[in-house]
Amino acid sequence: MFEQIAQAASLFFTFQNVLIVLLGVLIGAIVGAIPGMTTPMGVALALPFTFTLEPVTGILLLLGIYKGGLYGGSITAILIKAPGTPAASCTVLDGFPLTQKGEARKALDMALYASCFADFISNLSLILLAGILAGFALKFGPPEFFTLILFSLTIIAGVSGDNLIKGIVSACLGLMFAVIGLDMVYGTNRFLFGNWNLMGGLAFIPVLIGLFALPEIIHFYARKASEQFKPAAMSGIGATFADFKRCFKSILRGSLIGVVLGAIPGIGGAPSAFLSYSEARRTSKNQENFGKGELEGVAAAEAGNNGVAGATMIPLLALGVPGDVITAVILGAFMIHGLRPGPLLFVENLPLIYALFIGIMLSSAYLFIVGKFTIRTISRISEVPNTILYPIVLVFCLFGSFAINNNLFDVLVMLLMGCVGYLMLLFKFPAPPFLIAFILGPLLEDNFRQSLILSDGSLAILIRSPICWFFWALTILSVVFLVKSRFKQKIPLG
Amino acid sequence: MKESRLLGVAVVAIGAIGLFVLIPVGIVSPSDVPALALAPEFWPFVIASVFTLMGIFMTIAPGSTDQETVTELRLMRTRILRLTGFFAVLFGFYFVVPYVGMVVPAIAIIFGLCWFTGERRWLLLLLISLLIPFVLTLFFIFVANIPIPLGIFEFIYG
Repeated sequence: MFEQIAQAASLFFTFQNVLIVLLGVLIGAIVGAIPGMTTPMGVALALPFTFTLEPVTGILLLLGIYKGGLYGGSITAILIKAPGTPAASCTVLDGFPLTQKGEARKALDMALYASCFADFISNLSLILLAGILAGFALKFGPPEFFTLILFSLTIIAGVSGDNLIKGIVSACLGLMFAVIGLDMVYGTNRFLFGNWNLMGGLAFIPVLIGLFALPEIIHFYARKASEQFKPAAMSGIGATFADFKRCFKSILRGSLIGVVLGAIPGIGGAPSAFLSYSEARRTSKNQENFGKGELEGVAAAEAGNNGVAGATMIPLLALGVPGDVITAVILGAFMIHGLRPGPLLFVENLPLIYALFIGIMLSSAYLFIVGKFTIRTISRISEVPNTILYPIVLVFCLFGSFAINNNLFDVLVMLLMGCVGYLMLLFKFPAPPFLIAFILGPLLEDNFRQSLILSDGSLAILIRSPICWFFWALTILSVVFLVKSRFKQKIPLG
Repeated sequence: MKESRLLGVAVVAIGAIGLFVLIPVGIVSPSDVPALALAPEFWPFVIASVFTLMGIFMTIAPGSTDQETVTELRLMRTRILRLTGFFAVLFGFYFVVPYVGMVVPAIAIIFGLCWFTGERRWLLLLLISLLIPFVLTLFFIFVANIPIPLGIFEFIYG
């Protein structure tokens, strides 16, 4: 154990790694603060730059962007009422009224303190729980993994937004695109149509960039939109320790809510932020001020939002199952570096896991530093007009797609996926289910067919152990709960 | 409602093309598969069936189309020229790279798109349209060791 920690320390503590986490957090905060840019977009664009980096360095850069992006989203939510991330939409409720009252600085400070604290708690939970869960998952064989991944696919419901049917259609598209290539059992062609570039399947990064970065750009030029937000001045004085103390109960509660909801695949930051906010309002002495500029509201929303950051990594590292769209991208980054997250990673590459833990803990401190000292600059960067930003992002997309395999065909895949993504954007088909299905699809099929090979074609193997039963039950419960809750809230399925 | 139903029909049509054209034509299956579920076309068949089923749901019970989508679709007629132009730029990039490399089209894209959206600060335009492609190219060539196609700048490789 101590030997492995020492190995991890020597793996992590290089000048490059220490700096790259800071750079990641800074890039994430900037990306999150720019209206029109999203954190998945930022992570997707950064991915090609990590190819030549060491696995730890590359993954930490992406994790830094993830964490910075979560916080960065709150800057525009508070200053201009334009949440940079869906989760930050809860921060708007009290953050923007505080800005209108001339207390933007106080709101931004409180958002930062709550974010850093919740992030720290979430990271601790990751370190404590991921290993235990991975140890349990070592007992899994192909049938257990099949049922686990099947259950994980129910996270699509969580990322489908208001329309579940469209979410399922989007997921089916992702699954279908994932089967392109050589069949993994018989080695025969699937949808190659004579194009040998497709033999290895569609590369992950062009699909990712095409789906998450390009549609926004196409949409922008289709509209020739020129509206640009002008951030409000960062007026007022900062938050004090007394403010933090007053909000501490809500911050702690929000952090724990974030940890629990973050560890469940598919729930993500937005429900966590809203649950944390509503609990804070329910128990607060200043209940009537919520929605009118209550500092505790900002603290609760940001704690709930950032509390998921480390926890979403628990299912990813321990089981190889992404908890949300960004961890799905990070799963892709692991694969690009020849690593497969899951229980075996804890056995074969423990120093790497520990090195990631060290980097993740450091990112909480960096988040504080970046937030405290660069917020004024970041809020200025968010003024960069989209007319300049989008052509630059487009060129990043083109170069990044080419760089994966030095193959122009990947650029074509990215462009075509951009067209698919644009149509999906236009007709309100959510993109995250596509991506999650694209990543989980091959794993699902692989484990399904491996199970059948083991059992000579008998489907009974899929209910061979209590673990299989457990995941079948969870899947059924999840679907029943989902349908029931949609009927209860009168949300149409289609 | 009408738009949602049409969307459902489109999904069914795509699913049917998958089931009856793409899967039979695009998947090669060996003759000695021991179990149906192990066949290479089994999984795509399941996916395409669920996809089609969802399309049928969307057609039979279409939700109300949200106003934003309806507006976007109506505005599409006025935007078709702009969209075609933009797609021509995107796919044009793909087709010209083998001849002129990536740097020159990237410069043209940044300059052209900025200009198209009304940017007239010439110095800024020149600066970003030259700087970004060159910095990216140098990064990929010298830091990441990725041979970016350079076309007329091929001499950089020596």
